[in-house]
Formats: sequence, structure tokens, C-alpha cells
Amino acid sequence: MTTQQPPTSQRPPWTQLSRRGVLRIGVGGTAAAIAYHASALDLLAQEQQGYAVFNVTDGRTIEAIVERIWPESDTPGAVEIGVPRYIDNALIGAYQHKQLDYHKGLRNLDAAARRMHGTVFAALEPDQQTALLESMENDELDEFDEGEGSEFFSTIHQHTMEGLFADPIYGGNKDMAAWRAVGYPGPFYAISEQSQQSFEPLDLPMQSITDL
Amino acid sequence: MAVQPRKDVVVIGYGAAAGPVSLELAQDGRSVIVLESGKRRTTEQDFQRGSFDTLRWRTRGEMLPGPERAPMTYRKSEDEDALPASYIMASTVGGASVHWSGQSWRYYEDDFRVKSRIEELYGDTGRLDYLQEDRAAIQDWPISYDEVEPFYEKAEWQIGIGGWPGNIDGEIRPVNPEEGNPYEAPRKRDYPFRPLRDNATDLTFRQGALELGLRPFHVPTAITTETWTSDLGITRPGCTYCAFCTSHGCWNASKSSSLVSLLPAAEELDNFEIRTEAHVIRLNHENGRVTSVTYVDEQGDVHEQPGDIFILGAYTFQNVRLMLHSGIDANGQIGKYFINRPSIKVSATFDDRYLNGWNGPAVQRQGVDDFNGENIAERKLELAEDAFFIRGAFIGSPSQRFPLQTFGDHPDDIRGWGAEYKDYFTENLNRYISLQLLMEPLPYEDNYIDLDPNYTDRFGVPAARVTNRVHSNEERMGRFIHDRGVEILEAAGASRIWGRAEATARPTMTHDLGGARMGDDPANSATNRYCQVWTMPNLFVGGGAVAPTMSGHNPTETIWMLSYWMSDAIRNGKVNLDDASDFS
Repeated sequence: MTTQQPPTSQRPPWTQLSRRGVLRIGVGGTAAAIAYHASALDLLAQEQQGYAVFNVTDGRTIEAIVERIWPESDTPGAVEIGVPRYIDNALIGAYQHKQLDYHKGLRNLDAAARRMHGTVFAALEPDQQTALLESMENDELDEFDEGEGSEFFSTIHQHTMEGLFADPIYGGNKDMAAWRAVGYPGPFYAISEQSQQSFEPLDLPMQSITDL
Repeated sequence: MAVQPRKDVVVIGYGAAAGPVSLELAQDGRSVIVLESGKRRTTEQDFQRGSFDTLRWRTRGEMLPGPERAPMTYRKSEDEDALPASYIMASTVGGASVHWSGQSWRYYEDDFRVKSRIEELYGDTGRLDYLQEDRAAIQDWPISYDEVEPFYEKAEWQIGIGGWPGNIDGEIRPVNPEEGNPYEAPRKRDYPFRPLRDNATDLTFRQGALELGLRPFHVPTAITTETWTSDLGITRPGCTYCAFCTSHGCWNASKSSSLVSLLPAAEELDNFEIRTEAHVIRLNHENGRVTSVTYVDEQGDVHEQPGDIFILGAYTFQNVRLMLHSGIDANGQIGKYFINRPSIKVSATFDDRYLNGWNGPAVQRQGVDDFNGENIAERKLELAEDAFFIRGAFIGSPSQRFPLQTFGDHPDDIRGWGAEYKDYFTENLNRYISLQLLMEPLPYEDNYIDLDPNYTDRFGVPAARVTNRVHSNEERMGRFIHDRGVEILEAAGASRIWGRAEATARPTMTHDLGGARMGDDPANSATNRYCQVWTMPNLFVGGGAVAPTMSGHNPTETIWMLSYWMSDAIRNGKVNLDDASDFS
């Protein structure tokens, strides 16, 4: 039950605008002017990969945020695990009512990044990003109305965890990488007494709903 | 408005509370119609592969009632504005008994007479004054354990509840000297089957409890543990321990519910009918009797369903809201004495072992009742005066710790995201335990349900507004029980323990009792001993709303028991449908 993208005409207006924006960047060759390190080809690749809700700027920002929440270490980070894809899918489906919150919140965060560091959030160093997210979580950014920064952070945090730990059928948790990292093998119809009473790590085959 | 054919019995909602009474009254030959607001989901169609999805059923709560039909608002006290809140029961045939955990108990003898018991124990110690200051409104139930014992037994053998007996006719732990709740009220008949087995989390908890000289036991569970045929002739297979249990429909029909334990028997009867997506919005009444209910079907068409006997079988908030909205509150008792469990927390990780807490159902659970009810009355009297409390809590060791459910619980000195958090969670998901601390809160004059002046559902019926805060007794109990939980985990060898000792009120959890309590006197109760509304004698209240006090145990088996108890009174003419004060 992978979420299908609806035809362009059914998408929310800013999504349609953003997609035209992507084309302009690609065709017009203005990618070099963008502060983050991306070539037009990268952007086109991303377009083909197809965020349904996030435009290029927002897509970069969301990727940077979720990577700070669950960064790459000896196991993959949130971007490689597909969390942005999960959130994008959710925003075109079950969480449609959150689209505006994301749009506004990501804009505000970028505005704060520009005010404090002169460039967009995605272009900052990881430590700067983390500090900025902390400020957002603690309602210390003037770009947000009172309480909205922490609320937006809490929304992204929740959705990041969903993108990590929900079944891969929702578009995140790619190759069950997040489950593998924390030692959760996925759903089983039955679990044996021996497994249940073990005090050791369990060596069960990884599987998702589609394997049941 | 279409008027439907008259029925003998009209039941509103089909969850735990409605299951027994609608079956029993249909068996008695009466025509029974159940109007259920939710959809019909079945084991075969809806709970197979698709049930193994935490995001769908738990996080996004596909079965939960939404504010468009079942709105509620919450505030801590009267000087606050109530804001919309949500609750986690179910809008589906079978109600929350479909997605519950299945921890299933009889109440203690004392649970039916809390007021008398604390007066016996503490009446002349001068310790109880703080309860008056807090306006505690404790009242004995008008029924005793001995009277209802046969109906608990009926629930266990018809619906399917298993355990080790702790007390058969006064003999403690008669079947297994190591198992069963030694404090439980005496039962006449053993359980029909044994509870779930222990897992690593349970063995760890048990080790800690035994170390402290406590008397741990595996909790009784409404989950079949072998292929079992109920007293109604319904056969279901034993649990496979898949762990997609709380919040989920059971793929194997092992988890007992009104849906799989009772509905199949009712539906064999021609005089029983269940109408789904039929949302009742009003109880119509004249001359002190309910004459019909008004409901809206899935097309939005409005219907009237007349009948002789009406039974409220929805959840506490809906039952109370319907009565108040319909103007049924002649004695001013509807909505009063709402009781909801406050929360505290004790969690831990173990460096020396893995517990793999995701690999078993939530109620695969060892626990202790050593601190529940009045089991430690003498010890409580030794506490400082400002630490003394009445009643207590069950403490247990739940499982079903999926990553998507537990990511938010971590030691306080770790921020819940970033590199350090990732390391923590990666290392500790499978070393993690968080205790169940099931505190018994008291009823108070200032905890209640009424109609919200600002919010309504989509049909214009006002939301249920809950006013509910924690009082001194719960604060003191919370600190004491928190410390006992910490001790158990320390004794079990936990490496890192964290938690919260300050009890906090919640808008709701899944134990929302009171609001239409039963009693002996219409001046201080909503119903008589048979759940019959004093001021509306052909209306009966199912579910936890009738409970005058809560108990430190999960309420569902008692809700089932009360449904059998109520049906027995109706079937055997113990109630007069024209006069609720005339009963035997």
C-alpha cells in the first residue's frame, strides 16, 4: 500500500508552484546560485525521486533536520533511511492537514538561519543546525509565534520517529535499516518460548508486513 | 425521520458493557437491537496481516473515535477553559474490548466497600482529615463481592479469562504454590485456562520482587493460551505471542472481546440484530420513561428507534453525555464523581542482559499486589502524617515494547534526539523495561463530567467536558508507589532507573469510571444497585460509569460482570421498569 502520488491538479497549490520552480532552476541553469551544494542534475534527480509536497528548498531543509534528529553514525542516518520520503508521503495522505504547518515552519526556520548565519538552514554546519533546532524546540526563535516553534519541532520529531520505525510500507525505514539498527526484527505471527525467555540478543530474520 | 419497528430492548453501543446484556436478553426471548456508531471489523477481514502495523493502529489510531462523533474537552479545574482532548477507546463493533490489553481481574471484596473499610482501619487514627479537605466523595457500592461472584465466574467462562487461582474458597494458591494473586477475593471455580507464560521481562521483574520478599504472580489474562471452548460453545485457538496486542485487533482471535467471545452467540439468535454506523444522538423520553432513541445512519439519514428497555453500552463519556444532552438528570447526579487514573513513571535499562521487550504481548506480565488496596495498612500507618494515603496500586512488568511506542521514554539527562540519543536508543531498546503502576484514585466533588458550552460533535451534540485533577491522596500514593517500583527494579539488577514520582492527571486514559454511580439513595447516586437510572426506570447504564470507586485493578472484567448482573436482574424481574426504587 505505497502511497500513490495524485495527479498534479489535485496537489495543493504551493506544491504545483514548487514543481514549476524546480523546472525553472534545472532548465535555466541557475542552480549554482543556490547556497547549498547541489547541482542541477542533483535537483533533477531529486525531482525524479519526486517529493509530492516539499519543493526543493523545503526538501533540503527537511532532509537536514531529520538527519540532525537521527544522524548517520555506524548505522545509517534518517535521510538514508528514507525519513523525508515517509514524511512527504504522510503529508500527501494521512497528515494532509499538516501541510501548511510544514510549509510555514520550514520557511520560518530558514528565515532564522538567514538572520543568524546569513544562509539557509540546509547550508549550515551540523553543529549550527543542531543549535538552531534546539532554539526552535525551546521556543527561542522570533520567527515563530509563541509556542509554535516547539510545536513544529515536536511534529517533525514525531514524524521522524514514524519514518524510522513504522513498517517500510509507508515509505520510510528503507530496507528496515532503522529496525536493524535498534535490534527490532519486525512483525511475526508467532514468537517461541525460547526466544521470549532469552536474555541475549535474538537472531531472527528481518521481515516487514509484506513478508508475513 | 424514519421510525423503525419497536424492539423490546435497545442497546446503544456495542463494546464490553453491551456484550453480555444484549446476549442474555436475546437468549431470554426478547427482541434486541444494538445501535453501534462504529464500523464492523472482523478477525478474518481486518485483523490479519494488516494488524501487524503499529503506525496504523496505535500511532494513527484507526479504530479510535474521532471528535466529529465523540468529542471531549478537558480542564484541570473550573477556573480553566477546557480544550479539546482525545481518548483511546474504540469506535468499532466490540468497542475497546477489540484493541485492549486483556489484563483481567475481579475486584477485591474491599473494592466494593472502600468507605467502610478505611473507617474500620483508620477511622480513629485521625489520619483521614485531609480527605475531607480535598472533598473526597467515597461511597460504598450498594453491592457486595459475594453477591456478584457468580457473575464474575460467568464472565470468565463465557468470555475467556485465564489465570492461576490465588484463592479458591479461602485456600491460598491452591493449584500452584508459586503462582496466582494471593490477595485475590475467594473464587468458587478455578479459571478456565492458565495465563500467558513468562518472558524475559517478567522473569526479571519476578526476580526483583522475590528478592524483596514480595509475592509476584502472572496477571490473569483475557487471552486464550490453548485451544479453548467457552461455556457458550465458541472455540478459539491459543495465543501465538505475536505481541501486536494492545491497540490492535487480534489476528488469531485469541484475545477475548465482545466481538469474538459473545457476538457469535448472539448472532445465532433471530431476535438479535446489530446495526452498525448508527450513531445515537438523543434519548427521547416522556413521563419519566425513555420512549425511543434518535440516531443518524452512515448516509446521514435520521431514524427513530422505539423500545421498552434502553441500555447505554457506549463508553463513559458518551453514556454520560447522552443522558445530559437528553435532559435526563432529574436528581442532579449525572456526571458527578468522575474517576480517572493519574500517571507516574518508573523505567529502567539493564546492562547485563537483554529483555527484548517487543517480543511478547503487553499483558505477558508479572506483577505484585503487595501495595494494592489496603494490603499494607499497617505500613501506611507508619508513614509520616503528610505521606499517609489510603488505597494503593498494582505494579507490573508490561511487554509489547515496539520501537515506535517507546522512543519517547529515555533517561532525563539525554535529549530525545541527536547523536547521543541515537546511541542510547540503539543500545537500549532491547534492555528496556517500564513498569505498570496502576494507582487507585478516589472520587472527588470537583472531578466530574458535564456538557461543554463551546464544542459540539458534527450533529450539534455538546462535547463531554471533563474536569479532573490530582489530589493529596494520589500525590502521596504516587511518591510511595514510585519508590516501590524503583526498589523492585534495583533488586532485579537494573543499571539505570528513571521516572516521575509526581502524579499527573490526564484528560483520560482507558480507565474512566464514575459519572453515573450506583448507590442506595437517589440523593447521592445516579442508579440503583442494578444500574437502573433512579429517575428514568427503563434506562440502564452499562460500563464503568456506575462505579462509585475505582480499584487498583483494570476495570473491564468488572464491567462485564456488571453487564451479566444487570441482565440477571432484568430477566428475573428483580427490577420494576416503572419504579427504580422498587427492586429486590
